[in-house]
Amino acid sequence: MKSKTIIFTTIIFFIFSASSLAWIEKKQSNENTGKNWWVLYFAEPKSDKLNFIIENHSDENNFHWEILSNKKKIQEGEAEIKKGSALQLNPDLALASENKKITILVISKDEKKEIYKNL
Amino acid sequence: MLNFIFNQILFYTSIAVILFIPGYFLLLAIFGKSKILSALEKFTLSFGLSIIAVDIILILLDKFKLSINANSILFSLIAFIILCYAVFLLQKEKQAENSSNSNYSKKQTSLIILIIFFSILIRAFFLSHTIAPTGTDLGHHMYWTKKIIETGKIPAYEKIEIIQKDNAYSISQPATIDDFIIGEHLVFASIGLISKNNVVSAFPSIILFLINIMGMFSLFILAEKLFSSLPYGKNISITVLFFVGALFALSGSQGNFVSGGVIGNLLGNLLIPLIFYFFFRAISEKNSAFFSLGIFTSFGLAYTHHLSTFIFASSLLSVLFFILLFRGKEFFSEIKKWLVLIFSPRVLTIIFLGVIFFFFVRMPSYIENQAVKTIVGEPSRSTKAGLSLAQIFSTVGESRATLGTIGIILLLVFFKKNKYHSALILGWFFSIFIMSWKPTLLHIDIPSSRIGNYLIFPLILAGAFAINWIFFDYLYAQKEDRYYLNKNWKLSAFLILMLYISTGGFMSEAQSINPKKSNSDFIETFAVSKYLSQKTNYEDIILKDHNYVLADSWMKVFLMRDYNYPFTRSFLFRYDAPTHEQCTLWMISQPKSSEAKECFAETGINFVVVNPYYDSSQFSNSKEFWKIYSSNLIGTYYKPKK
Repeated sequence: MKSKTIIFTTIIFFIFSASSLAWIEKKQSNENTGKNWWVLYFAEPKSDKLNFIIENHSDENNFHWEILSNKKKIQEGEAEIKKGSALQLNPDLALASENKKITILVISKDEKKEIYKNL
Repeated sequence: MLNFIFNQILFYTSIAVILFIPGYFLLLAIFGKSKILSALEKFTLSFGLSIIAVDIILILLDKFKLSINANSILFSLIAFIILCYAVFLLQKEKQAENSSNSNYSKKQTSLIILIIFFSILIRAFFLSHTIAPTGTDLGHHMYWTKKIIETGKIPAYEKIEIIQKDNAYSISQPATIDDFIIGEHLVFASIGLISKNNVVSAFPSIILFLINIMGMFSLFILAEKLFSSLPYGKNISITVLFFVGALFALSGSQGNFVSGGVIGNLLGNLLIPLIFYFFFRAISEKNSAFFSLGIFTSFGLAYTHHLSTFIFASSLLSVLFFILLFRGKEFFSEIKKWLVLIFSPRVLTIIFLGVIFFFFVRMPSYIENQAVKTIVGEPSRSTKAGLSLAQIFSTVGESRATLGTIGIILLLVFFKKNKYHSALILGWFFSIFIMSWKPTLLHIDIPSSRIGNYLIFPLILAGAFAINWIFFDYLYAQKEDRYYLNKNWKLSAFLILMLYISTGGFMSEAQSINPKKSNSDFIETFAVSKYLSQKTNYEDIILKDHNYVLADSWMKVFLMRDYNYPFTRSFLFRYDAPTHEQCTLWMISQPKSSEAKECFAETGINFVVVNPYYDSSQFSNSKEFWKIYSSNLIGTYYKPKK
């Protein structure tokens, strides 16, 4: 009987702690819960297209974006993206010309990220 | 929330179905309803035997070209259970009725429960900081687990590599890997398939957590049997539980190995004490059923972890040596008794089935690939040339090593006459000690620190014995009501010694817990992995950095293209080895160099994933790369074809 008590309490302790760990991991693995980060990437990384996506997992919702051709600003805009959402922007391809480095610069509060293609 | 609760219910049901029920029915088939095993022994043994039974069943499914999926696993487990139950109903032979000596007093039971509570609590607290799937080794193992889940087959353990031939680099055809053994992955795949849990979740670490807890019990029940002849035997086993469970919950091969995903060692630490338990009971109780289970579990270990198998085999030989040493001429009469056990129908059946399985169903991959040769010979690196005594003490924990050493000396000097328990602990300890201290003596070529970790269990047994012998035997006079040492002095000395051990144990645990460790940075690695799995195909070759990208080994689990995909810039010191390829280093550290350009051209690598804080300027300054992905901790570059 005492042996069974030991087994029973072990099972209870284990299930309680393992479930708590699973819950903690679930929260840690959620891209938004308690996180403050955002990401910028090209929708079509291997082509010449400049479509880009801002994916927001931060508390900041306002983003300013600029398109630079060899460091010269050729287009800019504002975007409001809620936490947990993503926005795709499709710049005019005509802006891009050959032998130019086209940079997408995105600024949110004090944070700046850029991606580019050397066309 | 409801989804989470449902998922948890399914998960724990899967654990019961996979990790307890098959072993329970196997024990029922062998021992029937006899009281030869206590409930706690049945609970612990069911777990170890289930792991082996499930491995064998899944290997057989694969051998007969049946897909490994939730249905096939459940049906075959039901068939196995029915078979065991039929054997139970049919067996007419009466089992030995020795009642297991596991009745603890109320106080002892409360103490055991308290120790278990702290054992689980300390591990859970530590794991709460590391439960996210980020461990490098765990990432490697989960690739193979997911491969089984996705394909329904036992995988061929192979990988592609960047190779250099005639001054030109290329990607090799898949070549065999010796480091992985199927037994490390089948249990995880089974639980993943039945519980529908993704391998990129807490579930693998929780299973390892359970294996670690059950490993603790396996040492506990072994200690119960080893010291059952001593009047303070139960105190020794409770001390063992305290040492292995609460006091050294994290250091060495315990909590740290759970979070790191060191599956093989954890399974080894579960199965080795169980095998010793079976053989000890077989020989001391002249019971062939235990002998057959010892053979069965040893066989299972061979399909689970090569290093543990090697350690166990060496320890067993060493134990035999100590029995020979202690028993002298009587050793050969002992052998005769053992032969009676070996030539019993049960044992012969298990050996026969094992041989059939080994030669006609599946060999352990390290034997099939003749990888055993790679661990025999002169140490090939300084890390394999042996540990100093100070390093051994550091590996196993200073206080544990001190107390364990006292126990070893006591057993060696005073307990030679004792039948088997001294020989078992001494043999187990000395074989591992020599392998980690002077591997050249035995011609083995394995990292010494990895072997050193196996010293922990025999040292815990010896240490628990020492502390109890000193305070419950030696300092207690044979005459009633009289102590060699005043009772208060004795109590004080006991408390001081426990304080010393506890301080050492808890200090090492405190060092293992790092609450400041970031819990969320791995999210960015997983995000880029999902992005690359969508935007790239088999023609694209990715290179990533292991030095500064967190949880990078998990990228392969998202991409599932090869074990070695994405290719990796390894730890920088590894490139000092003259035989190590340099391409992966050049392509990230100096991508504009002529060597790197050749590497990119010859290997076809066109995506590079790095941490922008450490590796971005070399790519930004090059017109050959596009930066296509940018987050705080991840920068990804694409190299378009010209």
